[in-house]
Amino acid sequence: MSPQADVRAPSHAEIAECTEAVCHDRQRAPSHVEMAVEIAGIKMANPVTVASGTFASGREMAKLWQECARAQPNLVSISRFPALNCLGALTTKAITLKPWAGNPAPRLAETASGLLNSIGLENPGVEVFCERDLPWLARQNLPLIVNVGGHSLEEYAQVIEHLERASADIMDGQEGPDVAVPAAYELNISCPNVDAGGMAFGVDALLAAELTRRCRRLTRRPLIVKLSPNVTDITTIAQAVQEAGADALSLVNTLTGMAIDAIRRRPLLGRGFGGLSGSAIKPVALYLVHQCYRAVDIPIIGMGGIATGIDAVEFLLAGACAVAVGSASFSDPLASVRVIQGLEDYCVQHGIAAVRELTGSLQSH
Amino acid sequence: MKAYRPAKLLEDCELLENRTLAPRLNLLRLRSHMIAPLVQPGQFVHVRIPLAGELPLRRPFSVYDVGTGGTELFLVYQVVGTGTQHIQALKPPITLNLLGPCGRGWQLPPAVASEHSKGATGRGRVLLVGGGIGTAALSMLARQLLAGFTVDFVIGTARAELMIYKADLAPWNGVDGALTLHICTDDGSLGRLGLTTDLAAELLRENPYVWMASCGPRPMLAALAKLARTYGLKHQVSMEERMACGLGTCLGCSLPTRDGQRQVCVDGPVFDAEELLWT
Repeated sequence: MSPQADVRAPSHAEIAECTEAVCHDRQRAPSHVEMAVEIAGIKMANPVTVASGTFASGREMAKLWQECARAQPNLVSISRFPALNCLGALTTKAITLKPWAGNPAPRLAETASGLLNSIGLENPGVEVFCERDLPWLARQNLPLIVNVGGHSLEEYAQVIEHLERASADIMDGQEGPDVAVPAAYELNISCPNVDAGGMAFGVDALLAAELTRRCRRLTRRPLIVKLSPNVTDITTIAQAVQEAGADALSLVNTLTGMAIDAIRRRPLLGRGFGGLSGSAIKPVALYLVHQCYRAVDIPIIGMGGIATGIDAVEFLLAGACAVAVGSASFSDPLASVRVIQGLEDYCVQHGIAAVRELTGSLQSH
Repeated sequence: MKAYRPAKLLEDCELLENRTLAPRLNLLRLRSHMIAPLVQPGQFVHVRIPLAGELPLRRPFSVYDVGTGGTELFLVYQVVGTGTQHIQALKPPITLNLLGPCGRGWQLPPAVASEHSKGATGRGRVLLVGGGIGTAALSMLARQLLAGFTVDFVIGTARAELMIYKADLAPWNGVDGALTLHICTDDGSLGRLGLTTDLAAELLRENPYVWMASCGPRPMLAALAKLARTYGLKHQVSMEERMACGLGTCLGCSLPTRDGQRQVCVDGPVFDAEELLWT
């Protein structure tokens, strides 16, 4: 194949399709599909959240959506969904006890239909998060899932304790946000980009269970445990955290991977390796969701390469109760909104009365 | 009431022209009614590649110019990999989805210059240094500065054929002594043989400047930062880093600064050179 052969201009049909998607009729008739789902007590207006680390704490996206809606009343969808609370839930970037600076640059590399990252959970720490972001998030009127990271058992525990105190202050001080803040915690035991902790907890069933038990004692809020695909048998870890008191699972975090610059004979990422996301990993993620769906009773939030409503449907069929849109938001900041619409459209077209009916309804050949 | 000015928008922009200027250097001309009027010198746009399923990352391109009553964007880009090869092959009619204008552009020096650093025309003198494709980020700035400053613009490329910027700036070159181009190439095929940093060092020795701006390869920027420091000169640099979102959410483009981690996409791409850690 010549080097130019894969560099093909899109066809007119592709352009038309793309334009149509952007200029979605803002006057869409309301459908009668029941889009709401409840996961471990988290009441979501629809089954779509965002994957941790792809949406920060939501401020930047919320601002962009609002500005687009004001500047282009005909574009979208956004005029129908003017605010963050068009999402079923918001999942934050991982919060750790102390500020983390993350990994050296370059932190990103594009691979075939995928994105390799080694950000390394850069975040300002739980104190700054509680001061700067949590009060704002409390006013957005949607379920908030705070992703929690750490180097040690103790660090995870302290982040949750800090958030529990901050939450109590907010609930006391404010005239009732409609939704408890946070609505749930997501334990990140699966980030491949940190040296100690992170994925180390997610690849060992005993450690994963111990961490889950420890955090379980600290809060009455639902605990979601986000698992790594980088294991021999994910179902043993899923079962272990279920027994330890997890209320739900997020599946899956990124796949550990590497990209190499052949000319310079160096890894493309400063750290040497990172986590792969994007549509490249969707088949792997679907399989692992399906495996866990058959192995545990707790609900699953599916993620890994979801960019369209149909992608979301596939995860629901495989057994997920909700889904998260991840790196697709980088390419299209409206991806999560489009996934919600696409999911609803699918239900209308296929006569599905309630989206929750889709969960696990995969037929066998 | 103050007019509402959004910070950044998504816009589907019609591709008007995609022209090769020199080997591996292309110009995109796009119709943009919403983003183009908002662009400040030094800002960039984040371009989504059609078939984003296969090439999921947008590509950040600095705005070379805004044309035709503020409704056209000119982007100069270098063809370096699969993504830019794909963009190079695009032809009208097609629209490209742009996010922009992104980031913080150049913060212009105060208009009133101190007495000792006024140039021949009695205006403050500024030094711009562009290395290779980095020159594109300085082009709009150069013309904006002409309104109040005497501009020395050092431009360096590897060879004569890559010096695409000279012709565009030629109409202003030497007029009333307001803009002087200082051209150099690595092989001496055009202008001086040598590096931009050598030319900049000479100019700094000979002239008093009130401000300096540069964009180009990182070693060049680091050397210029050191030079500017010895002259106590206020120096801004435009930085480049791999980025995904362009919004400040992914933290892919973090740079360590004296003030902690900062994102090239929203806190930059223009930084005070003194803020950055050059080691």
